[in-house]
Amino acid sequence: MIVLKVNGETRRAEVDPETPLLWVLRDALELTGTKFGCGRGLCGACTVLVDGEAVRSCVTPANALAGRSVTTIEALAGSPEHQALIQAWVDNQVAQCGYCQPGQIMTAAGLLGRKPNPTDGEIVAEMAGNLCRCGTYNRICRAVRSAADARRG
Amino acid sequence: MDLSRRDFIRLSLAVGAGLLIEVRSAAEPPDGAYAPNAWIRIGVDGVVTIILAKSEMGQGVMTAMAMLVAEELECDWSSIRVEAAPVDSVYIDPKIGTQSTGASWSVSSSWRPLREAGAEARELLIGAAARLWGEAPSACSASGGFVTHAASGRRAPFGELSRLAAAAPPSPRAAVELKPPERFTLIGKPLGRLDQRLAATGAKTFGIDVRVPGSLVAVVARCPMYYGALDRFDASRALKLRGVRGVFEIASGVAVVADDYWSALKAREALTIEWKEPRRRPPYLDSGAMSEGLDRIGREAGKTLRSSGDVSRAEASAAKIVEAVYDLPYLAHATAEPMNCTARIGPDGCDVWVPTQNQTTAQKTAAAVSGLPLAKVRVHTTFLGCGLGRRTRADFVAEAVEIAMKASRPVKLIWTREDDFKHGFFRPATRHRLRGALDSRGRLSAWTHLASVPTASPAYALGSASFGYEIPHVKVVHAGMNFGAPTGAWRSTGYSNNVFASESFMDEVAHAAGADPLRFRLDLLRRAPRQRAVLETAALRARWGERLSSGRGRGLASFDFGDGAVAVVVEASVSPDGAIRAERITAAADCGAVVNPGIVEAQLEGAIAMGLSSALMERITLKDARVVESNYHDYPILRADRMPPVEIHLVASKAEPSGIGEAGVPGVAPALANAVFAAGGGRVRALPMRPA
Repeated sequence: MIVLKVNGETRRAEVDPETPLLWVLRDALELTGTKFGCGRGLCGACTVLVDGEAVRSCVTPANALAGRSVTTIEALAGSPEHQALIQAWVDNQVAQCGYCQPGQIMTAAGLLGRKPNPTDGEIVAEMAGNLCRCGTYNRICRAVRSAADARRG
Repeated sequence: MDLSRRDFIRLSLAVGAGLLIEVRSAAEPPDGAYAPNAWIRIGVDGVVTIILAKSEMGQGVMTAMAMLVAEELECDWSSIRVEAAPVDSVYIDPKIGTQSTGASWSVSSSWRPLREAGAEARELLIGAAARLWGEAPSACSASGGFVTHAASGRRAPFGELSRLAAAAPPSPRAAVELKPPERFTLIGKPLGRLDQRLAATGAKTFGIDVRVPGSLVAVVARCPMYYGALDRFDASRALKLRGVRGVFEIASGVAVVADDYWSALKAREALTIEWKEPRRRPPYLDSGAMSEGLDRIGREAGKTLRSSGDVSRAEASAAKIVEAVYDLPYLAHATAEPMNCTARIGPDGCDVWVPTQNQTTAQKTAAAVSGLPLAKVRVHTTFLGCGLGRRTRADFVAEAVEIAMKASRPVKLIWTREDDFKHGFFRPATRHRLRGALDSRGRLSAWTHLASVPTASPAYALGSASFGYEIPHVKVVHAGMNFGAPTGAWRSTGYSNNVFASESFMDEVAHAAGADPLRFRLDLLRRAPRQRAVLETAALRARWGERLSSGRGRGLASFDFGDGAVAVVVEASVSPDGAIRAERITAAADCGAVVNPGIVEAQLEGAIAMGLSSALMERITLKDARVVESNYHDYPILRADRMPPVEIHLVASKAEPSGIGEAGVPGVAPALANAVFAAGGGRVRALPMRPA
């Protein structure tokens, strides 16, 4: 049994304690917005926020997260604080297949949390950790830029 | 997400946009909604449900198909819902011959039928209103989800009329008149995609997100080498692990089923398996032997695709002969979403929930494996996390159905990323021998292209023989023979191989003639106005001919794609140590009438990224009949830091739609190679290049 704080709630899961956070979220907690891409922390599809920081959930054992707070795309999409980011994704018509986009958005949220006004170079460098086979990179970076600008008002 | 109701399965629920993609079993009554034909249902609440026979894999087809129907139906765009079609002969793509999505054909093959379906439904609603009011149908019109009788000012919403139309006696299907383009209100507009907000909120659900009550998760250990087989396995350790429910031998290897993915994966690692090498296997299942193999089939298996004039005579009188050989590697699809399929076998038949590009094959495969008749197999198409051609296959459907039968439980099969690379159906590695003859005035008088391809699939002959260049003497030969490594459709199929060779070579010939590569091509395109127009547009927008700093160069490529045409200009830099970088890409395309220019632009942008990725860094290597690469560390794909600015120009056309989903891919590699040459980086004749 592991105990986790996910999206503001304390959640319990009957799983092998070494199960990566990704599979606790997807299989035990049925939060399927976080995606499986590579299982090795290489593609970023599984990115979630842990205490506000973008983390690869596929290589993060769930039992390493005691006392820490996990945020997934489901909560982020509903939080007023992140509406500018979600809206920027819609306005820029970023997604094609959309599979990697929750991870992209979580990475962007992590960046903007740490650095509310990143340079374009910082945006590209940060987003380069997340793969998108549909090739939406330019729109991703534009969306992060416009979300940052919108939040500054 | 629980799929709890037996026959009505809601796969994804929109927030805001009001979009619903639902998957129903074919047998389900349509909730009292009116179904004027196989493509449309209209609810009493005015909600218009469009049945999507195409697979939404990122290309925006869900939105484009809905626009085609809605344009003629005259419903309110915000009343649109989209639902995945069941397998039915009515949904067979007339151009492909199966219910499937590929070859960039969705818009062109649906362009007429879906508008006709919309128009037919509109006329039936108008007929219902006319009967209600005792007026002539010709005095009534439809717009914005209402039928109006202008003379009396009466109007009725579609939802209300749907009941009357449903109750009306069936009338013979009349020919409908389609709007002329100048009256289009939706087609040609960059409407936002119906699934955009779903994707941005994590609510877009893919095959891998399906959960059937009582289901287990399966992973499979497959033979690591081609033509090998399972010898024996010991599952005793695996079966002792937590959450493990069974280990079964299946046709493709050994399957583990468990309560969750992680338990299944750990159990797979705990299996002891011995695989048998075959006594013999075909040669050339090793990248080191490819050249020899491809040269051999080039000599032995050639089929002439195009022949005009007399190449030998032209060469005999040529002032200059240019020759070059180009090599391309095997490529993986690397779809974002790994292969997966959920299967359930019950007394009422078999259900599969699957991100598939080919419902016909998925159904046939599930029927063959389960022994059930086709009518007892229901395919529920989910959203696809990329298709790229990989999901035209049904190997993962066969596995899931077999495992569900052996486990006597519903099963969700998930492939690991390693499984995906090791057991892909690759774009074939190809070799191209080209020869060109220049006459004494520097004109291209003869062109020979011999393509050697390790598959017999005709899809890889595409793009070598259809070019619009006017060359007096031409011979194009395609030699295709199966080498035994699994190959398959990969976004744009033969175009991406053949166009790399032919457009690189066109550049070499132009330079050999001492001509500007743009001028040289334009001179050969006098009778190919569409290809000429895109080339001129791309060159102009890319400032072709303007000076660049040292170490930089521009290269271009132009080619026909279906009935349309594409041109790409790449500006590249080459560092002193030879590292290559695409600095900006400009593309122009003519794909006929455009349904949604926003989506077309996005498709070109994305396909350009994929073309660039493959040109710079992608390669599948075979060694001893095994795939060497396993994950993104040794099969890198393009990341944001190598993505250049991309500018897209659509050349207006009155022609019917010709397809765009793949068209951005083929031009990038040759345009980049030509830019590298212009930048002083030498001639690239083998892919992948060396990225910065």
